[in-house]
Amino acid sequence: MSTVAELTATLAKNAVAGGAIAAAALVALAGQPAQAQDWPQEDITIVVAYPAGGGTDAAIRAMVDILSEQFGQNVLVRNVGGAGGGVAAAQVMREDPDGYTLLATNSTSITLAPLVEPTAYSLEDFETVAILGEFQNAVFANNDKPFDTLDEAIETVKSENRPLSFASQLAIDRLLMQYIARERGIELLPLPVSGGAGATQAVLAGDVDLSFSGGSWAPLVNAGDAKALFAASHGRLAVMPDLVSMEDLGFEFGVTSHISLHAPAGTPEEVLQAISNAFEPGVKGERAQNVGEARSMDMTFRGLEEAREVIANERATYEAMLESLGEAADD
Amino acid sequence: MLENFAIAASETFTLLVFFYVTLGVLLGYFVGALPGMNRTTAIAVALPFTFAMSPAMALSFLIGINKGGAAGSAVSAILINVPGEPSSVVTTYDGYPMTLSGRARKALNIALFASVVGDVIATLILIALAQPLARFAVTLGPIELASILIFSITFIAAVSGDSFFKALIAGTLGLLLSAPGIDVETGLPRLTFGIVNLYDGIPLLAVAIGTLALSEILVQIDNGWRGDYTTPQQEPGSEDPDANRMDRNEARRVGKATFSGAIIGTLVGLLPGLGATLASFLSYTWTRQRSADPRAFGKGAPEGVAASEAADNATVPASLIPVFAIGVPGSLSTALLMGAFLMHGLTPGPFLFRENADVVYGIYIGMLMASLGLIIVGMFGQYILRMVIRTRQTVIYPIIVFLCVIGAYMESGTMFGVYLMIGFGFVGYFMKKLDFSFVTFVVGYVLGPMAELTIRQSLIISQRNPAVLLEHPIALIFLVLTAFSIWRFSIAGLRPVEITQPSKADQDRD
Repeated sequence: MSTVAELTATLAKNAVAGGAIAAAALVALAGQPAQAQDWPQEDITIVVAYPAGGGTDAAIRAMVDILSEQFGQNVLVRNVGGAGGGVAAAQVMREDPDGYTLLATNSTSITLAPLVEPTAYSLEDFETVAILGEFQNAVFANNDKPFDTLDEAIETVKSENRPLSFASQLAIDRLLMQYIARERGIELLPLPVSGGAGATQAVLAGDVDLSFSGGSWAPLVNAGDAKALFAASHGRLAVMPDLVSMEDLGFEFGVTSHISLHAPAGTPEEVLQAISNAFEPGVKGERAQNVGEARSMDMTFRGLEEAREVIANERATYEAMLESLGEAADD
Repeated sequence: MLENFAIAASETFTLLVFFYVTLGVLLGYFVGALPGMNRTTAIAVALPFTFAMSPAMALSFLIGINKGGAAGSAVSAILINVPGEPSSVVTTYDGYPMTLSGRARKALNIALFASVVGDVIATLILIALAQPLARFAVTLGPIELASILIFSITFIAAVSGDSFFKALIAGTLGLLLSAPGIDVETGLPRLTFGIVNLYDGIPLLAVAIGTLALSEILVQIDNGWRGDYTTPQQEPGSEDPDANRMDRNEARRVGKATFSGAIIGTLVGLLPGLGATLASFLSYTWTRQRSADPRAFGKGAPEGVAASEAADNATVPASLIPVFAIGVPGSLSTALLMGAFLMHGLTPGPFLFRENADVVYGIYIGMLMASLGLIIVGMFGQYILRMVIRTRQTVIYPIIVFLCVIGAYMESGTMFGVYLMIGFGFVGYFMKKLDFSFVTFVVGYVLGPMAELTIRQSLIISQRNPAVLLEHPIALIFLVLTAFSIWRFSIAGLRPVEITQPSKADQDRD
């Protein structure tokens, strides 16, 4: 929710910065007129798919100053929350593919949601522009639980002849747990919770054996209030390289989610490249990096080509995992 | 605790925060003084404007509005015999007679003194009580929470107003409204009719602003159309400087009434659903019964004003205790404040102290600043307020409609919220016209999802075996209380207290 106050503040700031940029642009133009591009000519709107105050929102807002300097235009942030990113995605999909309206979202809302939920859009409706960061997904548990690893947890529930309970909130954690349960031959007991806070509460109160978390686990584990069991991704995590990953545990797949930047399908290639180039210093800037540190997100920039690859891989992984679960259901 | 205060103070103890908190108090004072508009409306309209603030500042600002509203409502009650809010109905009993006998300034000062003292006492009790309660509440699992929520929902029947069945209908409507959204267990949309904007449920602000604020404007339009347009009244002019002095005996009685009012207000505020109107009434009755001269009441007894206003203001911080400690709101305004917590990424409840202790202590500091703000606004704002209550409604209402539209747009950044808000404006209009309870409606809507989630969690954990309850004595106690509450308020059919004076239909709107 971009508020009037904030909007005005941004505009005012940009107006001041605008003068400096104009001067700089003039110098640059005088030096190398050949490289002057006609894009962008208008203000650029970044639609953040979540309400103000979330991780994606904080990261984008930390970049706005650098971005408007890069583009030489005002950069407006608009929060369109709802349906786990679905409302914003459906809205941006319908915008003109001119690069002036961009979508910043959790990549799973584009790669995974259309596969498992009724959505008004599909992956093909978007161009991937850049990856701005990676959420540090892990599975954690209450300190008092009699296990320290996934295998010990599975041992425990098998010996007690009961299902493994977990805090369930999103498609991504349900998929991960179902996949693990199928591979290791255990029963699951999903306890529905609302939001990351609900998952944390269920773990700390001891209501569940374990819970998936997109980053709120890190401060808890660092403070000694809970223990991390394993990273949910295939490879290890940047914030805690010592933590075993799905690959280490012998699984073929792991789940990932990124802060990804998209444009409506059909946006010209050179515009996509220009946007991607402008975001690189934004992500690498001090403020965005600080936000990443505070919120346990790995703010590593990936440009156009690399980002497309990441998203395609993520999609392929989810398709393969769902397929293996589908087969299990058919048996 | 002191350490937490020190950390929070470094962020919150600034002039900017103080400015915003005082601004909140001023806004609340204005709205409280304006008959027709109340502080819940003001919170609903102001909520979207806090998105850019830090969480502690935003919550302090909103609580400031609430506090200011509780104090400001006394002004119009005393000066023109029209309670700015239902909770100040009792203040008119003695406040207006005092004005008639030339003691308006004295009545206003006593009301201000009682408001501030009631507010400070209840705030200190909140600070002392919320954290230990939260520490205890950490041990409450879904089964305990579910039974507390069920109890809270039935308890609201106690304030159902004139018609128990209308209140029941309104409450059920509220529960139904909370049903659309993503089903927590399956992750699939439920009752959304394919509308993506409903996947997260019907947005809080659209409902709150529509039913609370816009509907009030519609009622006023209706009144204007019918010709019973209320032109602001003139207060009787003459002041008697001699009668405005206070002797020691009188001061002692006012002090006593204020103190007992603060305690009664705190106790009533703690319980879900009862609210400030009942608190001020109980406190007034208590003081009158213990007075040496009960017959002076209703004819301009200063301690009557003090008793009513102290209790009214004490409910504001007290009603936040269950929100902070277990995450259960007991009234309309706390339900909205809880929505504000969620919008700022904070989850009220036992883990609030653990994960966001700095924010909580920041809010405490903000609340104490608001008490100071009350004194400043109350002392210097009285002349402005006298003008405000004479401002024409044709000036004020269009501004409020404008703010309603902006507020509804800001929640999700789409026009969907605005259309919904307008729709709920009409729903609220008809509810007001037909005298359906707003408390049960909004509390049903806010508690519904929490009750559903915890009940479903309990069923999963207990594997649908009711015998599990025997291992959860706290849950059992609340379920027994629930049965008692249903018997007491519906089957036995007794109303707790009849509050009959000017605007009976307004009584459940605090």
